[in-house]
Amino acid sequence: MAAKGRYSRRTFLKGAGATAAGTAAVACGTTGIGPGPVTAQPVAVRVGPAANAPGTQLSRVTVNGTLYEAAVDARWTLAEMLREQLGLTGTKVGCDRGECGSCTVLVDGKPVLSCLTLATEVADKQITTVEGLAVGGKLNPLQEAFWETGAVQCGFCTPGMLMSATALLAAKPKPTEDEVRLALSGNLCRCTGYRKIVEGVLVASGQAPKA
Amino acid sequence: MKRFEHTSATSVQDAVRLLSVQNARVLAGGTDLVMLMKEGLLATERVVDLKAIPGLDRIQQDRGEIQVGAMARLADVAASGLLIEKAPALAQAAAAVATPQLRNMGTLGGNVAQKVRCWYYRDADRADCYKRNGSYCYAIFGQSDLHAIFDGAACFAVSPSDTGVALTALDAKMVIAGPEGHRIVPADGFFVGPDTDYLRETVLAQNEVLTEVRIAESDLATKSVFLKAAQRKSIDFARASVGVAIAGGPVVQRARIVLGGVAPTPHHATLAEEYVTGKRLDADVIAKAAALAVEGAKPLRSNAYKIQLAQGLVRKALTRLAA
Amino acid sequence: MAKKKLSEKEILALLDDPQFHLAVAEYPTEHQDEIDAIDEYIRRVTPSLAPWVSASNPAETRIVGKRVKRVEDPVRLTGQAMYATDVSLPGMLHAAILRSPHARARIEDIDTSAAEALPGVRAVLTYKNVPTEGGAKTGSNPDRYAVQRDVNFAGEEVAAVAAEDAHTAREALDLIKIKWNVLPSITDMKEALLASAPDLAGTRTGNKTPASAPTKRGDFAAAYASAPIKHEGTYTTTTLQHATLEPYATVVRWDAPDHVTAWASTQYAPGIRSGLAGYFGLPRARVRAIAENTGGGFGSKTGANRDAIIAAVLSKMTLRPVKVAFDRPGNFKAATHRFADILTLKAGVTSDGRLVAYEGFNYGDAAAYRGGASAIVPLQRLYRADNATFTYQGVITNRPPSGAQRCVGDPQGTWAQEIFIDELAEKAGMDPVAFRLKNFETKIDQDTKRTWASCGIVECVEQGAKAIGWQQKWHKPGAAIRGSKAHGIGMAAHACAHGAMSLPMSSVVRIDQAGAIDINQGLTEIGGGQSTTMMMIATETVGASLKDAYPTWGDTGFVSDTGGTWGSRGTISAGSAVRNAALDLKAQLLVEATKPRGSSNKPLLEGKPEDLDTADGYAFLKADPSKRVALKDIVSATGSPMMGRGTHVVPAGVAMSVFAAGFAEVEVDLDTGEITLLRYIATDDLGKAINVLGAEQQIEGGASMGIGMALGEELKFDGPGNFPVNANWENYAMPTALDHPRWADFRPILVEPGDAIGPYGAKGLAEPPTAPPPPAIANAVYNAIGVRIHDAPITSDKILAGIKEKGLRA
Repeated sequence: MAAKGRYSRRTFLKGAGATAAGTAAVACGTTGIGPGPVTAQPVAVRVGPAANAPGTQLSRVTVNGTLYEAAVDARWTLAEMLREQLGLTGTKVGCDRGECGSCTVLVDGKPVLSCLTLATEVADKQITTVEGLAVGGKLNPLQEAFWETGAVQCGFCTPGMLMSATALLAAKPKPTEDEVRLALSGNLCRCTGYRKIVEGVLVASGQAPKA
Repeated sequence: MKRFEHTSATSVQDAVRLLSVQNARVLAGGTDLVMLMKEGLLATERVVDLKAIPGLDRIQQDRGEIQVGAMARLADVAASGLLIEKAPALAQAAAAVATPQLRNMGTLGGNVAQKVRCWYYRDADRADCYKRNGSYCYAIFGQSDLHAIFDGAACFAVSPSDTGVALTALDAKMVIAGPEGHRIVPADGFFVGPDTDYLRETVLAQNEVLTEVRIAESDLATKSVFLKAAQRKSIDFARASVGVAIAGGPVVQRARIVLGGVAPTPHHATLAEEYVTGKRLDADVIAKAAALAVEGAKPLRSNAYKIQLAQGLVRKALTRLAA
Repeated sequence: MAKKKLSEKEILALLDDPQFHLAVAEYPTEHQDEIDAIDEYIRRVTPSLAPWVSASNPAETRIVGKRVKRVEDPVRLTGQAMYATDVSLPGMLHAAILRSPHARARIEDIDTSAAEALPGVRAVLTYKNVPTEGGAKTGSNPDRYAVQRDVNFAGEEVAAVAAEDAHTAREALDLIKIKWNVLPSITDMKEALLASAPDLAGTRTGNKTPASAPTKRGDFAAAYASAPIKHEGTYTTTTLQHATLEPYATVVRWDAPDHVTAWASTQYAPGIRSGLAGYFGLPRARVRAIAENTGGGFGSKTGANRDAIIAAVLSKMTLRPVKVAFDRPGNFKAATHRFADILTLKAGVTSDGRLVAYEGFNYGDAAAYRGGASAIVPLQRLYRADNATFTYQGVITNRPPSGAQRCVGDPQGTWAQEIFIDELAEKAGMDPVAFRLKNFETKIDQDTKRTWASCGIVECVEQGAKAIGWQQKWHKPGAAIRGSKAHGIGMAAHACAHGAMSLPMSSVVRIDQAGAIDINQGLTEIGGGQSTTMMMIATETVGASLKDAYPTWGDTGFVSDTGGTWGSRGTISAGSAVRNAALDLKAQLLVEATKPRGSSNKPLLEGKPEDLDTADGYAFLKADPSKRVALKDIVSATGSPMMGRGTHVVPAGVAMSVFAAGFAEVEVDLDTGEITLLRYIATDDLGKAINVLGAEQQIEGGASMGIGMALGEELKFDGPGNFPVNANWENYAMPTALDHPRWADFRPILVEPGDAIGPYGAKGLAEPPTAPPPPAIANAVYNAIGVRIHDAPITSDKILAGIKEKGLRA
């Protein structure tokens, strides 16, 4: 199980194939890194208290390709809806005040903080969370690269890091190291010193960090 | 968070109508409002979401003006080719705000209209602070590292907006919609200091919406720069910042030198502006202007460093524009 | 000094006390007598391995020392990893905590009627109904309950609400009315020491904790008086927060009157178990603690903290599962903290640059609940000084609880020592690297006279100096200013007691008929990849493949207690037990392989056990490796899974010490006082890396925490009110990706001299890399602009003041 060199190009193409099977993925490009396939579909899951309960409002939202119709408490943030209502606890809440980036998810492909987004604000949007990254039961190339390079320690910041990196690689498949550092600068990590996370993103893009 | 109603406006008029009830609040990017609601710092019974109003996020050139919709995301303001070319200070200021995620969420309008970040005001336990309709300022005897060195009066919180500094330096106009229609206010007159009213930060009434900012295309706007100093290279609000815009050259015809993070509003360094007008920006002139920019500063217990910091930023900005 | 004698009963009591193990892991030198007595006892009662089983480290390894992807990670990459904050149980209630806005106060009265009447509220806990009988205390000094009536720091827990949802719980807090009697408070140590200061804890000691005897050798006064070069300086550090990404959080389900299950964010699941058992007077066997994943610890999650206690009390009150998760400001205010200190150093040096007299006087902030410790270990260990006196005095204040944070007191000591040594070198007219190399003590602990099992400090400094280009780049202070930018480099060295072995150490390694290996070890996985490390040690030792092994961790229902994940002790302590268990299993496998069996009465392999070895899942004849049998076939032949067990003790007479160095290159902006850390090289003497990937991770992460301590982290307290003003990440400057050097300029260098007593030559390594960055960066700033900063952190306001004083800018 000793590490075998850096990520090969071949692995990426394989990953890209898997993603390309879906339609309208926000971020495939050539890297195979992006949210899972998104297809237009009827409401798959209805959740929440009765829609006419006091203080609740109806929100239709697509999360990781599944369309939910959720009756949400208007006070709920997107993070609360994902974690408490949809059971998607991969999105972490480190501060609940917009400072740490642990709760980063993609809304229509852009990384935003789900702790400062109201659940009612994302009606009719496409949400991607960390649970939407692995396709077909396999880690995607970004996740593989994080594993390979040791970008994970306690793992609590990892989902947010992955989402920020996913958006970066979708917009810029071959970013420079400084672009990676900037893209991750809204995600705090206490364990790693960021070095192996930056490396993981570069490796996922088929590059090695400049020695 | 107290219970509230989420409404979504379809037009500016609709937004103004929805704001007509007490404690209705504008929801733009939500990065400030949602936190204020969580902390119970702003009574809110209804939020009026502006995101569905078409066209409010436009960044465009029109008849000698650059028009930036109030709902333009800070990330888009920072990346706008038009602004980078024609009003670089604004693009630079937007790029300097917070973090990538917050720039994807936060809007230009929200950034200029945000509440102060004073750590006493934001501490739910300090309900007797002036900003919360109390009668005490903790910063005077407490930790004033982040507080005002100019124009403090009762309250010493500083204006936290980076883009507000740039807009003031660019002589921008703020377009405001209200029940009576539109009004236009210069950026200089948009921000409100505690000597006028310590409970608010801008001239915006509760039922008004900032819809757009307009910057005249000019030599001044093109030759502008924004610089910010903070403890970290991300996340932080400015300990001090500066927006400088210069028309003319090599002899300065008109100058705007505006300091951020040092006063309750973006602070015009008028002495420095007057001094450089009609002069060439050589090292001596720059040094003198930087010293004049901080003249009259009155530091509290732990923020005297801001005098030197603001002076250094002015020196750096003028040096950059002179090059 | 006469050695302390301990009875068997006393030894057993100590072995059973998690607080003792924590103390030993963090401050081993203070407990050397107990450690020796316990080691001797365990040596006496431990059955030894067969004499033919070699416990010495092999020259070549197949798994140990490689770069291995961690078994902990995939579940964290998919978002499926379950942390305490993610646990949701049927019927679970959510709790919210009310904290004191005052630093020192007594509650005259509290009215919770409105909160209790709010629909959805199921319980409100205050001093009026908190259980106080029996052992219902948290074990701090002074003791405290789940919630307090008398508060000793701002942010202390005074009430808690359990409700059907989190919003309702928080809403209920607003309805609680408290009549306070606010008392005078102090958060500044110097103020607390004034004769006029109020007696903060009723100790009548001038707010001092009980004094401990100074550490003395030789005659400092005489040596100092006659030294030709003298120097003195005072250096301070401040209160820091661990700022783990996951806050304090526990879910407790009171299953039955005498049975409790807790899901905790902790560094030590058995500590949650013993903490809750102690608080409620339950047998330990009736408490189960589970920690599948923990979002960071760094010393703040060593046992049952108030999150666990409050969740348990509320769950007992309601007979419903209860979740307590501190909000971020609450975590900043009320988790344990790295303590502030003041350290005054004095030294005499000979004219040829030899340290002959060394004195340190250290005040440490024991804060509200008598935590913290001295900062003098690096002073005792790193430099040879035949005449030395080191004194520590704890000070009681109303700062939040002091506790262990990565490397505990040592970064405070190293901050002072390494700036001081730089200054000494300058006075002696020597290069700072040469001065240090000349004065290192590399052989013994000067106070106990024990021999170090290994010491790689010289290599750490030499390799770091080479990597940063010391010869080419170091210059006279302020000699590299171009325009508004000044450039400089600096270094720091470090030695401490972390990374030594400590009890408890026990493990069981099992193999079944399919060859699956379970490694039963009790380290709680907090991000360091300890489970992977244990797998590597076990499979290397048994001679199996990594793919056939899986470790257990973090559930007291399954694991033996291998102590907490702290003190850089995991790899060497749990690792030694795992290695011994694996050796025991290997010996059994070889015995079974050579036993005659079946109708033919033939063994699987001809020969004696000592003629065999194992590798890659097979046992084979050393003389002819082609004669081999799969380990799983040996197990099948016996008909039952096999089990090796292992315990371990530290060999007598030797001591472990870890060493590290750091080299920093900075650019200082003369206009803004901003520091850019251009390069940082961290060299670390870790004995031997078990997992190279994991070793690099620890060095990078440790250095990062040090970079934070250097460049801005500081919990600030309001002057008159003594409450923290920056209890959040907006204003507590924990560094971001952009505040670190680029990949190639932020380098971990592994120094591997081996070690005589660690498993495979390993020493602990997670903590020492934290200490060098602050003084290395301070020394680099001095090199850049000629300004000495003695008070951490090194912020732009201090730099600007220095720039002004030096006249570098108007």
